Amino acid sequence: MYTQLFFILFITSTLFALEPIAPLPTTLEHIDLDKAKLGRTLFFDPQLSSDGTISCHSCHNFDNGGADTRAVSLGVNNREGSIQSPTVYNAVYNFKQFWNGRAANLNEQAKGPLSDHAEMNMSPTELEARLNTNLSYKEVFKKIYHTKKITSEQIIDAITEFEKALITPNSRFDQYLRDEIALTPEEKKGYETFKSLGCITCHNGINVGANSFQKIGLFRPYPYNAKYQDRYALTQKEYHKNVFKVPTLRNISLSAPYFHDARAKTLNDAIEKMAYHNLGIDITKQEVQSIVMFLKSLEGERPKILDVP
Amino acid sequence: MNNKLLLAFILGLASIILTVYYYMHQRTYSQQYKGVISSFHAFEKTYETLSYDLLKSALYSYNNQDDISEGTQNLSQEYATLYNTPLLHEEQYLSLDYPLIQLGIDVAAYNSAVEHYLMLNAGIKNSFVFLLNYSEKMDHIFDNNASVHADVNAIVSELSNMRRLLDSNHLQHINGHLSSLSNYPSTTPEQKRFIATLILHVTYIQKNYPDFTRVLSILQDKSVLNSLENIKEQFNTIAKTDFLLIDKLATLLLLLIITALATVIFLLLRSQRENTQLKQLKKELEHSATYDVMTGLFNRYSFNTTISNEQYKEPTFLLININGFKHINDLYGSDIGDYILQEVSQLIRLPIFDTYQPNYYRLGGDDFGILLEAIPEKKVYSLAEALSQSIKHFIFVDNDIEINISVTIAINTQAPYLENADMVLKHHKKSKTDTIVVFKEELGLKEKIKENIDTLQSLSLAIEEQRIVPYFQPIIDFQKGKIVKYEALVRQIAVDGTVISPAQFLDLTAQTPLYRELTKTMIEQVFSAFKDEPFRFSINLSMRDLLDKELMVMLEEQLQQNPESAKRLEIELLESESLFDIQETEHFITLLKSYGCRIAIDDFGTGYSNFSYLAKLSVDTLKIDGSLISKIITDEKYLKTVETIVHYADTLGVETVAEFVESKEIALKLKEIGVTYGQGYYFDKPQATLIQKEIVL
Repeated sequence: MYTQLFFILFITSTLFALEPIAPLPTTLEHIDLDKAKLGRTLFFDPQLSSDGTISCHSCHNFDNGGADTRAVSLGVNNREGSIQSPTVYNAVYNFKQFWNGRAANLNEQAKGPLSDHAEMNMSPTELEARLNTNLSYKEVFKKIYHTKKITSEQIIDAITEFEKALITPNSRFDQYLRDEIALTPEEKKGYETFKSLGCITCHNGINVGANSFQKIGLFRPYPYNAKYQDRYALTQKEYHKNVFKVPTLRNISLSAPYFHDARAKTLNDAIEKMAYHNLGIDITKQEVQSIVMFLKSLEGERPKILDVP
Repeated sequence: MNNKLLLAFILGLASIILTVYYYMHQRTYSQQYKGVISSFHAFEKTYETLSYDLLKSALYSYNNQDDISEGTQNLSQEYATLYNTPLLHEEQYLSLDYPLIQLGIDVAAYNSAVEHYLMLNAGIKNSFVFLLNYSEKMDHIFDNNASVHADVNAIVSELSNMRRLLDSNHLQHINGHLSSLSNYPSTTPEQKRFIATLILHVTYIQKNYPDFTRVLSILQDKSVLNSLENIKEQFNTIAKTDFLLIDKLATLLLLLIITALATVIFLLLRSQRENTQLKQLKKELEHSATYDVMTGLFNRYSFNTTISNEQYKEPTFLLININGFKHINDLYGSDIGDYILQEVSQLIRLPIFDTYQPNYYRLGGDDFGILLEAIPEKKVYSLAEALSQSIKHFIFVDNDIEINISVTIAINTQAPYLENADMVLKHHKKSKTDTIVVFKEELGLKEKIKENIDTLQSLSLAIEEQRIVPYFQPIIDFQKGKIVKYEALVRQIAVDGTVISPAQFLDLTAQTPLYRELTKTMIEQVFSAFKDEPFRFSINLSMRDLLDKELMVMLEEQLQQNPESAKRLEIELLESESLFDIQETEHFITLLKSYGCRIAIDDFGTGYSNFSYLAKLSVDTLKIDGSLISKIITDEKYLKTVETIVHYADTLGVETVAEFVESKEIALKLKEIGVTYGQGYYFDKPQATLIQKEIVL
């Protein structure tokens, strides 16, 4: 049966399916608001880092598309991070977390930066000890988790809950998908270009990406540097070199610089580089500009959770 | 019985426990079983869905890959669920552990193939789309260059065939065209760029297509499903054994329940049988409680019940007593006595009573009773008479002995029925005249009985307070003309000091233990009184006393302790009906004589006076009855009688004593006819002390 079906798919090479991009939900469902608000406090709290200087927000700035403007973030004691910090917006829809997908979900992910030597550099024990001396934290945790002592699991859980709520709905494109508005001719053209050039092959789904891995430099090689943790770092398979999670393109216009190594400083730059390395085509300036117009329509609203009192 | 009950209880309990255990075990197991099976299904479904989504991604140029990434996650999750099913880690399923791990490896390989597929598919798909569109630009860039056209068309055609046939061999065919294209002397930068880009994509496809087909073949091979199929098969084989075990348990349980039920039924049946037996027994017991065993009539208990239940509105009660039944028993033996009782129980059932709802009772001993409803007073008397007559004329025959009996019948209509009838019967039996007596309130029997009870009570008190004393009446020797001995007579001193004569209480004591007490205290006091006196003295004893062993032992003790007094003692035996036990009397007389006592017969000349036994017994004295003495002056016949007795006594060498000597005339006459001694008011009345005085005749 499979052989037959695969056969059919190869003779019908250019079938077009339904819209390959899905809109974000407009309401927060299955979110424990108290927990998320606690997570929000924690997200902004530099006490979660060993020297009290770095919070989650230091590197996942909500004014910069939930990411960092710096090529690599600076952690405690100004230690340099190893990779460009990805956005926390809509991260719950990432099929895996981190650039190389080493965390299966947000909960697993959150532990990483907390304990990373170059990031917040806190062991769970230290973290617990510090938060348990804070009476206002103790009170809030007790109210939510009904325990006397704050545990690191609870801290991670609250942060995760907050991150689940970091959704940026109602982008123009989402509204278009929901038939609420019409795109401008420029945006529409951009979307068509995006599809016809093949960007859509990897950047699709609810997060316009972040549902598969791909090699950067598919057609033309991209500079390889072992300091960036790619799939190869996990699997040691040769074909996994320079393979990363396809990043989300939502709010992409807000979160420069681009790529794992921040090599693309602007969106136009990033599109050109993608066309060159991963599509193997010569893209025109008009096409790049057109795609930028489309990508800007993916800017969503600021997450509601940030402004909930 | 108890063991069986215990067994039934244990069996019942065991079957309940086993049922609960079975139910829980069976439920848990089938739940777990269902859990595993549904886990299999969920896994399969996820796998199918993922396969479908993969197909879709290959099929469409634009595709949302979220389903696929979600599908791989779901597959891993379903695998984890299946692997973590507790049942599969139980001992009997341990053999599944390796296949389960194998499945895990297969799932991981599959997911990694999916990941790899998505990577390859993206580039290859884009390249094909690109090449198809790109080749159209050829005309515009190369005009009518046949060789470029041919090369490009050949390459596109070969690649299309390859894709259609999934055959990488076609790649070899394009190498020539590729080198031809690369060697093409481009005249414009546009041409150069066209060829370079084309070669870039074709070489990309060339390079990656073998990997792509390899990954595809991994996705197509059924190793995941095969592994799962293998696990399912093994699981079902083992589960079958488990279900067999559960079946066996169910059979065992059924057997146990049947056994418990059978035991309970057995016990129920037995208890029912025992119940029947108990009912029968109860019936018999009730019968024997209600009926008299010997005669089959109702018994006294039944009589009381009938009365207290007021079954009769206007009852008339007849109490029938056989006259002298004790003598019949004594004379003929109790067998005949019983025979007579049985006969009487039939005889009293006169057909004429039937009109009055009669019930017949044996009320104990020789007492029979008849209860009748609303019978007129005159009628009942005549019927009682008829009954009395019929019994009187009935001849009881047993072993050729013919016996006649008579009955006394008491008629009573007033409660308490039995007590009243009995009272009037006893009262009238003394007179032995009437055979039919009727209880009437006016008879004052109750008062008389109460009086008697009072008398006995005061007597009892008197004995206790030592107010029973002997009085002594002197006895005069007619020849010597002086007091030679004394007769001791019992007196009760009332609380107020008045002297009560024995006539007022002695008869009443006859049937009571007081009688013995009286005799005892008399003997003691009399012995004490005469211990240091020279006089002879006499005490009255009845036949009854003689038969009283305890009393006789006491008397003998007194005789032994006072041998001197014993020689002066004379026992006056009351001549009465009871004296006929000659043997006992003889024995007594012999005993007394051995102590030197003398024997007198009291009240001789009345009642059963019998000269023949006087001859047999070694009597020393005859006391001539006072009723004869008091009339010897006025009536010649009495004088002759006394003379005869005296003559007879003289003949036997027996002394005589005359009682009731009330005048000088009598005294002289007695002396004249040769009576030895005399006593009476003429000489002196009985007194508390031993008086001594001159006697002038």
